[in-house]
Amino acid sequence: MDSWIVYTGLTVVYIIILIIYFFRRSRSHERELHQFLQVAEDQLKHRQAEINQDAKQKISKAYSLVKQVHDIAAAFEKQAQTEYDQIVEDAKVERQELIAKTKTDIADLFKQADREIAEYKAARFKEVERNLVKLVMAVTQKALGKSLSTSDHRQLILSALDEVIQKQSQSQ
Amino acid sequence: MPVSPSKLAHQFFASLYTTADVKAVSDQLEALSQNQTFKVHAHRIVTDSQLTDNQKGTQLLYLLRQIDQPLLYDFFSDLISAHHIWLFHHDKIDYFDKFVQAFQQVIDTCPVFYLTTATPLHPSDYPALIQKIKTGLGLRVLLQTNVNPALIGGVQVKLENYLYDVSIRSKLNQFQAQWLKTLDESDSLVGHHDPG
Repeated sequence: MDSWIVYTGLTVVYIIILIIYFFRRSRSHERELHQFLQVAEDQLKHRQAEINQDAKQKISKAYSLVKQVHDIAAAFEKQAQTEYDQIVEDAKVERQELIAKTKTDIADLFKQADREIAEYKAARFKEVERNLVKLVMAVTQKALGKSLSTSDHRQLILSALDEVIQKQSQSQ
Repeated sequence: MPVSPSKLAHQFFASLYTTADVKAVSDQLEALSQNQTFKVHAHRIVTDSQLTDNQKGTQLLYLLRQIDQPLLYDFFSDLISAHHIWLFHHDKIDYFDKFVQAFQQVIDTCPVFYLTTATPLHPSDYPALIQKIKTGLGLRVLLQTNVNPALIGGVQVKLENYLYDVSIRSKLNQFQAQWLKTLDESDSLVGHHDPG
């Protein structure tokens, strides 16, 4: 009985020693793993920090770019708005000027038309007057031509000759 | 020869008033002057001692019957009646030629008075007109008459380089021009009346 007990005791001791050994070995591995994980975690954190930094920079650049684009767009929009307002303002002024000019032109045209009508009327009236004079003279000529007797003609010829003689005498 | 051919030419010219008459007479005289048959015949008549002056005159008149210008025929007839038959002698001096030449000279130096009237002039008016011109201008002229009814009355005269229009038409035209001028002047002074 003693042997088996010894053996058993030895086995138990041996098992205990094994347990202690594996326990210590496990602890050692656990520390190494922990240490490895710690290193990995540090590296990961470091990498994450670098990425974060890089991302921050990119975001910052992107943001800056977006801001610039936004500013440009805003400036462009503002300029466009200003130009649009200016164009609208100019158009309003031009429209007013155009309306004023058109009114002036229409007034001038009416004045010119009135003047031309007056001139036309005056010219036509003058022409009528002149035609009237010519008509009166034509009628006078016809009437005189028919009313002069032979004796009148003879007297007119003698009077005309007197006039010619007088003119000829003056010219010599 | 109591008178010279030149004086006869002037006498004859005094009875002519128009260029038409003068031209007709001149042509006739020129033809007679160049007609030797006529001249020889006339010379024979005036130198025929067997003929009396009356017979010579009768024969000369018979010879001159070829003249178709009454004025010229009457002139020669009067001349022969006054016994001036010496004109047809041409022994030493050709008196007829002298007469024709003198006549040509007279008409060449005589100014032409171009007279345009509204109605035809009667030939009986010519002497008075010629005398009037002679008295007024001191010129013996020949009349060249034309008729232009458009003159209405009065005359148009052309003498040498002068042209006178003292016709009724001219006076009416002047009156019309003056009337129109007055209208223009009144227009420019007071503006044209607008009848509405």
